Amino acid sequence: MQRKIFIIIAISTLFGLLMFGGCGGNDTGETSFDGVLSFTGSSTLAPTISQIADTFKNEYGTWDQVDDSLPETDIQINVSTGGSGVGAKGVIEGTVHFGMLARDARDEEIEEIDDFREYKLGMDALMVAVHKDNTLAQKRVDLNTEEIRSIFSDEIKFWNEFDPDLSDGEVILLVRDVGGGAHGVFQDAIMGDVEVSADAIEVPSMPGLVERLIDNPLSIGYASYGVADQHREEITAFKVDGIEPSAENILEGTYSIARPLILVRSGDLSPAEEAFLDYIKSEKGTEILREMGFLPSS
Amino acid sequence: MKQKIIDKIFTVTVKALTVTSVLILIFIIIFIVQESMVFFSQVFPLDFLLGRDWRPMSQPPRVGLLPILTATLALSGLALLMALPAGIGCSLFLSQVCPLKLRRKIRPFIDVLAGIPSVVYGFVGVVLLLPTLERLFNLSSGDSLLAGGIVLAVMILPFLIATITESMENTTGKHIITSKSMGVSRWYMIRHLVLPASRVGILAGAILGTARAMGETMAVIMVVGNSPLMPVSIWQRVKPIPSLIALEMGSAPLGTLHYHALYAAGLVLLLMLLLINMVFYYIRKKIEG
Repeated sequence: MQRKIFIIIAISTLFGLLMFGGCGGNDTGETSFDGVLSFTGSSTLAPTISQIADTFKNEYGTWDQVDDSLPETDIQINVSTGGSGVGAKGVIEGTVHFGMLARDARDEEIEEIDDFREYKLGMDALMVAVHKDNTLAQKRVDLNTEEIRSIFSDEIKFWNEFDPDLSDGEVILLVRDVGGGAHGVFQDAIMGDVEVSADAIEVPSMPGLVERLIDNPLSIGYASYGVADQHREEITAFKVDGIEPSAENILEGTYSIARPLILVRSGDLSPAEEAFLDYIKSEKGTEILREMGFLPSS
Repeated sequence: MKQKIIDKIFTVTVKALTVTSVLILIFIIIFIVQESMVFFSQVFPLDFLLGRDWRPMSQPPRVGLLPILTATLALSGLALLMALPAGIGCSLFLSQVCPLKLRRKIRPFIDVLAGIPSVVYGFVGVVLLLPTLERLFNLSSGDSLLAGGIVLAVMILPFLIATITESMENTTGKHIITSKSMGVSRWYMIRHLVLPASRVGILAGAILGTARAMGETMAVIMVVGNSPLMPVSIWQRVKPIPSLIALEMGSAPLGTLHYHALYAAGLVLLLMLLLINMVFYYIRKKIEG
């Protein structure tokens, strides 16, 4: 008898949980401000935002120091990562204030976010780079889109298939995950409909990728401007279709392999959000963006 | 009277906690099944399991799990193959040969091996193991099934040793006095008494190790190269299921085929582990019964 009741309770609890799981998620969280701002999304943007948040916190401490109209609560800014997709997902589900995206928002994401807003912070460019001792680096400074495409596709397996003068070693491709922002930019700008070779090594992070590039003279990969810039001595980045991956060219949009860094949210900014966003765009904020190797848009 | 009430409260709390933990497990399984069902309503399960191409972002998307599934099996198989002989040898030494004093000093070190964060194993793998493999075997890149197998073998070794040593110690306790009084040599006892009697312990260690190896993510992601290729040789770069999910979940847009395919891959991993555990219980029953 007791056992039966026990089972009934267990099953009803389970159904209860399932039903709660089904609804919810439409909270906008705008009712009252508790001093917390949350960001989630791109792992490219996250370290930058949390560093800006730290300096912001150190400078003001509590929100009323930022603006008199804000409550006297401690500033708390939570930054979590998971990729651009997670950033957009967080805004769609209403679990975060801002989504961090290292790509333009996709049409279906814009559609699903009510009252979509985006704030452009800067650009992140990808450089096609090799180890400085790679034979290709000694022979060429410029690659065109077709050449890069042939190297990254199944077409070329050994360096000397690209040019007989090059080493006879295997081409080691270094890429990020196929669904990620970086790969998306590369796919759109260079590959088009052609698939990147299945032989490519998928590295879980951008610094990890550059580290591999520095370790292996046979490798070629796409490295973000920021990370590649920190290792100028050890790697060689190519011009793409004759255009140098320089700051001006990237910001002007002439250099093709680049992606925007944006924040997305739904609806108007609250005063606290506006204050923090202004701080990101202030001199201190852009300085940090630059330090992290990105190109601030202002 | 008062004691009785306290007992009652204690019983109810413990029961509630037990039910909660079981519910959490059920809830996780239901959630994964629910998310994968969306996928299986669009893709036939056999096409998923036997498809040889993983290109979730191409048009049209191809989501074949075969290279990834076989890589998972090959990786944990290889790890077990390397770790099991070493584990049995270690356990024999610890339980039969090693003096008690030394044993007490060695055991903590082996236990510490189990506590090292997996990312540290991965890091050591990238910095030490990959360049060594490249030099030794003249490879263009050290990322390979072999590298993953070696890292995993080291990682599951402490689990193997702990389980096997325990069962060997038990059987030794049972037979040592008889053996000594009969005058049989130590090696005869190991060969004909300890090893056969530790079968279940060895099996249990192997199962535990395989389960751990199959689910290990971070250390593996760093050394296997993550290319979705069939594991046709140990030099091949591979992408096992946990790496697949960890690498692609963050960027798979909510509700897409890619997103649900990753849940389906998770379900396959879960079912494989359940199956392995069931086989383990079956075999143990056979041996013991």
